Amino acid sequence: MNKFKVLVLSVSIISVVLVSLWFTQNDSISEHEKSVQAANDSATEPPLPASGGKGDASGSELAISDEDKLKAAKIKFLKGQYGAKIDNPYWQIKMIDQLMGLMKKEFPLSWESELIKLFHEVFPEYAEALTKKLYAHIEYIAWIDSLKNDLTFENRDDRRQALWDKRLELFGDEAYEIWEAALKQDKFDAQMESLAQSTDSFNEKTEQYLNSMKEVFGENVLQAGHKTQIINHLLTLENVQNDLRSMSAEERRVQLRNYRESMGLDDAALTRWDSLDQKRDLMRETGTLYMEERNRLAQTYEGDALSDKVKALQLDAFGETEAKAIYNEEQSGYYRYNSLQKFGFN
Amino acid sequence: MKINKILSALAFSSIGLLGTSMAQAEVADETQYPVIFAHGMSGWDSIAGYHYFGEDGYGTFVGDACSFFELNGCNDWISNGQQSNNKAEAFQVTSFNNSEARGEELYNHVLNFMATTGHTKVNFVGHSQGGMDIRKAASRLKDNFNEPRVGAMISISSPHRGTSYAKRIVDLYARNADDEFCGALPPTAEGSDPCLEFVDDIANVLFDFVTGANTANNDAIAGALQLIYDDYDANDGVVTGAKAFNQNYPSEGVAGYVGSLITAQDDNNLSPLLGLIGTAVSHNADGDGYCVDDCNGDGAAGQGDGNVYDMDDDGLVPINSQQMGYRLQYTPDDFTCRWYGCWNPLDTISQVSSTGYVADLNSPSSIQMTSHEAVLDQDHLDVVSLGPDDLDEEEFYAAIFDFIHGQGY
Repeated sequence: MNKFKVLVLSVSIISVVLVSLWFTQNDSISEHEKSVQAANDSATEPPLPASGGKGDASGSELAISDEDKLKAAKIKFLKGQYGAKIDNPYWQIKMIDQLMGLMKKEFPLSWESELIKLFHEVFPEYAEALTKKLYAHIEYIAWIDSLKNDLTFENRDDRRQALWDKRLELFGDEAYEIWEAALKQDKFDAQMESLAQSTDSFNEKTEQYLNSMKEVFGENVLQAGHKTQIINHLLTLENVQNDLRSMSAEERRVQLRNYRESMGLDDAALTRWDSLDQKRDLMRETGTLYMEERNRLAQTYEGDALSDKVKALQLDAFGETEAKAIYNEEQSGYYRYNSLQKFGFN
Repeated sequence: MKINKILSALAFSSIGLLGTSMAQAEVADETQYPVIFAHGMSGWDSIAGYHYFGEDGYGTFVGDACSFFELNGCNDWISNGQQSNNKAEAFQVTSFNNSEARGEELYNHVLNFMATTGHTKVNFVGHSQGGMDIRKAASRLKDNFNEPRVGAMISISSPHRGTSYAKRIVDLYARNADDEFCGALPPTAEGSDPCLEFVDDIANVLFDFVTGANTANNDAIAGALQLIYDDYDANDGVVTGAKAFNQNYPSEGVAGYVGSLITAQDDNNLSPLLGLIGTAVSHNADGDGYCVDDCNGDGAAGQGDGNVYDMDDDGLVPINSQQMGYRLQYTPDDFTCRWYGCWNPLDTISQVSSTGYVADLNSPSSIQMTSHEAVLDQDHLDVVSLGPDDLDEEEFYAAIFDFIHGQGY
């Protein structure tokens, strides 16, 4: 490599390193330095507002062209972020909520009018609808805030009804789109309540559960993440646990494997679950025997003698590491093996 | 330094030199290990509804990226891989119980998660009591695998050294007409605590906004005692409190990085619910003074500085209780212009150096208990979906994802 190439390469590397280092330390240099640097680095551009373009307090320091530039950047950002979905009420509210926070900081006294002005500049065809939603949103969050002081609702259903009444009053039918996730959750909860009363077989319940999930959340629900939660949610039902309890260990293993497979788990995941289930079953067996023996000791001994006997039993039953955890738990009043095993959970 | 940030810097510098303004949002870098969120007392999760770790009032889970929920419910501040690679999840544990029980539940949820996804390590982010639960879960994971399985472990608004509100509640409400402590009494025929009414009231307020609260196996008294620093009653046959829990489940040795975000707010700005609790127990914490252990017997380690109106608690937890490991600073970064153009950068989380590192949770230094540096001006509930407030939860948690990535986890 000749000297010239070495020189060019060295300068390039140093430049890259310097630019990178500058970027990492950007926040630590003074605002004044940033302005100077901005002016130097962008000879064809006027210096950008060093303070981040915040208005009100610092607004007077900005040149008009800089304000225009910041405004143009905001418009470009908002169009990019929300332009494709601005006709959707959920995203309208989401944008309004985000902008409310930003505009309150930038224009503490005039944020409302500035925000409405921005609506007209960014999405003129939606400005009227957005303004209407802004006021509805302000009223809704104020109502939510006041609700937290209110303990007069009889139960959760009453409060939920009040929430929906208010949403419909303020947003009309668009409330169903804005709170689509909550609506789906309500619908799914109702189906779970029905499933909780079902006397169908375990297999039939798993089939109904999967159908409910798909009906409420869509056919691709199993591809959307949260698979651990989705699979185990069915197992939170007491009647489902009773189904599993009534099976032999082998039958339970097969049924759980089939269920998890139907929920999209691959062979590797099914094998990991088999192993975890098996380990838990063994621990439960040990824990049950331990509690029986512990209760027997408690009828014979008391005080320090009981404490010593229990400690020895813990060590013998669980080994040093697990015994320490069991000891800590019992000291706090928590007895892990006092409750029934919950298959799929412990 | 992260290579993609370097590339971004170079890209923006080039554009800046060309004199073109950019208007663009960053997204948080995908973490190496999944982020598991742990809720506080009386918390809940949701499969697709109103989420504890979500946006105020609309229920988006902060870990759901927009590639999967393009319409109506996603966080456009996080990368798609965070979700497509199963790297964000929240699990529900019993709403009211101590962290021995809740931490064990969380640990089992993580084992389930690992079995389902194949991940072998996780990061933890815990709010309030969830910040204590994650310590037990991390310890159990280490025991199970004979090595630490947690990358970053971050608590938010957690009462690591107790809270005086919990002691006031127990003092006032956990005693029956004969002034007997309910925790020492046998449960009623229904199996519930004999003195649950007040706690039930609070729970109803919270739960009525949501679905799926886990009210089975509740033990509200055990939950409250967890949040008092010392053992509450030497004669009830159990050893309770944050101090004993901290000894059993230290933050050291179970995770690669340990940090905490600390919240406090002026009393006038507190959520009405928190105001309601303060009024009900006639208490306003003074939580920015130093002393060893709970020297004044108010239920929390440390003491006050004589002024209850100086942003020394978040409505439930004093600031001298909250630091675990490094103190972290949250910096909102809104529409801004720098030399390379105008854009809307991701908020940031950074590590505070002046308050050092709390290694022994029961022995913080004076500055770690009294410093107001980097205290986030939000109340205890503002950092979760119980708004309204001025915190953008989606961007806040995205900044945490980004920070965890930056720590190499």
